[in-house]
Amino acid sequence: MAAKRSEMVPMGLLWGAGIATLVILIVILAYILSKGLPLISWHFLTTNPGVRGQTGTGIYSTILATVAVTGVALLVAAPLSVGGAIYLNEYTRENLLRKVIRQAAEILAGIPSIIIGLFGFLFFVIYLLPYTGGWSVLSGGLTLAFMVLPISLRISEEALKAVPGELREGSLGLGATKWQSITTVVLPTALPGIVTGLILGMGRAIGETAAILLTAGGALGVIHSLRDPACPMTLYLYNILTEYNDTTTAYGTAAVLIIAILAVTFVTDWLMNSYTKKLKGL
Amino acid sequence: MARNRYVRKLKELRQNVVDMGALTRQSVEDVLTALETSDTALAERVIANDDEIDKFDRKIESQCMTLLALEQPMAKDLRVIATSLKMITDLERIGDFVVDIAEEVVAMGKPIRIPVSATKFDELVADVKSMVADSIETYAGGDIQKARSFEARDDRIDFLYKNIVENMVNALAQGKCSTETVSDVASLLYIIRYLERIADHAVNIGNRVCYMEEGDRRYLK
Amino acid sequence: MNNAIEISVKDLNLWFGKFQALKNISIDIPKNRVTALIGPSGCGKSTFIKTLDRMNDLVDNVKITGEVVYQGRNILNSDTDVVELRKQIGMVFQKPNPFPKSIFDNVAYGPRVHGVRKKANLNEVVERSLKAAALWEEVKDRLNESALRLSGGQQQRLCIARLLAVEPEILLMDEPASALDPIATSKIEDLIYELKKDYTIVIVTHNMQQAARVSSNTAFFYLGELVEYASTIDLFERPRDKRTEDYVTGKFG
Repeated sequence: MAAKRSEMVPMGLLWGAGIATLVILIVILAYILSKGLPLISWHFLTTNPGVRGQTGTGIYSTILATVAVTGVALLVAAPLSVGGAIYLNEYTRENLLRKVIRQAAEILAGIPSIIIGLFGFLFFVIYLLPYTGGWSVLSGGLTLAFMVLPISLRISEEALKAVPGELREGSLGLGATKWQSITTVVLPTALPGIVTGLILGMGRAIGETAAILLTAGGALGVIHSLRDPACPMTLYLYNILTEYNDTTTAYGTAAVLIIAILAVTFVTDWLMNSYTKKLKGL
Repeated sequence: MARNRYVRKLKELRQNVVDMGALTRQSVEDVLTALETSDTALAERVIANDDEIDKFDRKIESQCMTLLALEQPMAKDLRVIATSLKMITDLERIGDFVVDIAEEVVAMGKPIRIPVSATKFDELVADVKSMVADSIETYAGGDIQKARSFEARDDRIDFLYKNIVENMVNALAQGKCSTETVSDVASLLYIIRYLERIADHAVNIGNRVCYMEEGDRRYLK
Repeated sequence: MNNAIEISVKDLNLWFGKFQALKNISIDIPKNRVTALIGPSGCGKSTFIKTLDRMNDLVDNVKITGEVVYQGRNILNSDTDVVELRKQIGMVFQKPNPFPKSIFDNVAYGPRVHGVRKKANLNEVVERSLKAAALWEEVKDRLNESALRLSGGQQQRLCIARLLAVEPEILLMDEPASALDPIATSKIEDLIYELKKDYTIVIVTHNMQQAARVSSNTAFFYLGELVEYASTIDLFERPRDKRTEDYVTGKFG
């Protein structure tokens, strides 16, 4: 049935707004991928960047650095955020402390990354120099953890809240202890949400540049330990573009980054969807 | 109060039973008057009126079944419906016995001569009349205290009945009756038998009403 | 009502903050019988039944006085092992709440959290419990399917099977059939009738006819008070309290 005339204009505008988002995304992706995809080759991915300014090399060490820094961030943020969310949601009542913590997380999420980077610099690079090795993967990863934490804490908390109270009542009613109830019923049910939260956090970590700039060091060598300085892809992109105007490599790096993020997103979505379907028995 | 329609229907039911009771009671009075005055016309009318009583019986039974099926009655409501259902049977049987008496009156066609003391017979008639009236009244919301005495009154009626039968049989045996009075005696024996049965049904009604009011199943024997 | 008492409640009072939800409740729950709790919404019957397995502990701001004596001890005492208590007194809820796991894992959940590990034992418990809950025939070929694929009535029987697997003594049922269609409801009622041979059952229901059908004793709650407690036939045929009479004849509530 055709919508009334008066309905068609707002419908059209709204449709346009929705399409606009899609269009913008497609334009960005298309532009960068069109310029960057041709550059990607096995060689590109497995060769180290050359001496600064040298073109025709690869981004191997930067890929490694990205993985390392993100890994550290997740390893630190995941237990803290999931554990914190479990504590907040399962062991405390809705009181002042919870509200304060939630608010704190939100504020933390809103602090500009450069400022967090500044803090990371002062605390991890300078103050904790003996432990972190100064400019290093560790310093970068720990700083990034601060950025992953609020996102994944919030989302994990929501995921846990979304688990219906009847399931907890059901498991407690069968004589499970609180902890058993959490690990065998609540967590498995909330898992898709929690993992999504972590993935979103991870996305932020992969794409973070400003904080990395101030903490990771930017050295192009292949890292051998967490205390080595590193140059993740985002930082590398920034550097070669600003210092050497190497747009080609920049596009290539950008393309790799985008593909990586897209891949992670799709795979996780698919995994979580199947898991959820299995839970629901569909 | 909730369930207004249902409450109204229950009231209607009770009123119908009361009306049927009034009709039955009137029939009892009429037939006993007809007997006394040998009013065969009245007796015929009584016989015809039994149709009304039977109609009531069917109508009330149908009402009860509908209420049971549709309204899930509980507690006192349930007892009222169950009692009504049984009571109309008793009333209907009383009505049938009244017809039997009326038929005897019509068959005799003339005033009866009672070969035994008339007072006992009059007493029996009066007792039965008042039992019927009282039993119907207790249902209508009267005093179940009265109903408690029904057993005793019925015993009295049984005694009178046996007494009158004995006397009449004796009179027959001793040849104190002429040929005309013999057939009268036969009719009379039937009539007082019907009266005694009417009283039994009145007692049933009284007992059921006691159950209806108090919920004690001991009243239902 | 002269058989053994399973639970003896004395002078139970319960407040949610300032609101008193239960007022001086005293009642003896008989063993191996079905006791029904009826009353209008908000009368306290659900609150009462939850007190019996200490589920009210999960709510904020609750104050309880009085005694609930089970197996010789007052379960309201703070030194009661609540986990163990809930093994012996199990609850089925209004809305079936199967875990998002397989049918097998649902029923095996209880035994597993209590330490049963061997597959053979678990298999046996699961089969036994599903049979007792009259569900075995319908699901025996698909134990690994998600429990959420079952119909509402089957899910509720699954929840009962889950309970039976921990071998409780008492089954508490909070309006177990109110979310189900009439056929599923009858199956649950038949099941309750079967189960009472081996278990003591307390069932909360807002459906009086259901209480009349399944229980041998019925308690009428109103505004937090226990108004009348009698054998079911007495309560429904000749209630003593006018409030009970008005409620069962539908004149209020």
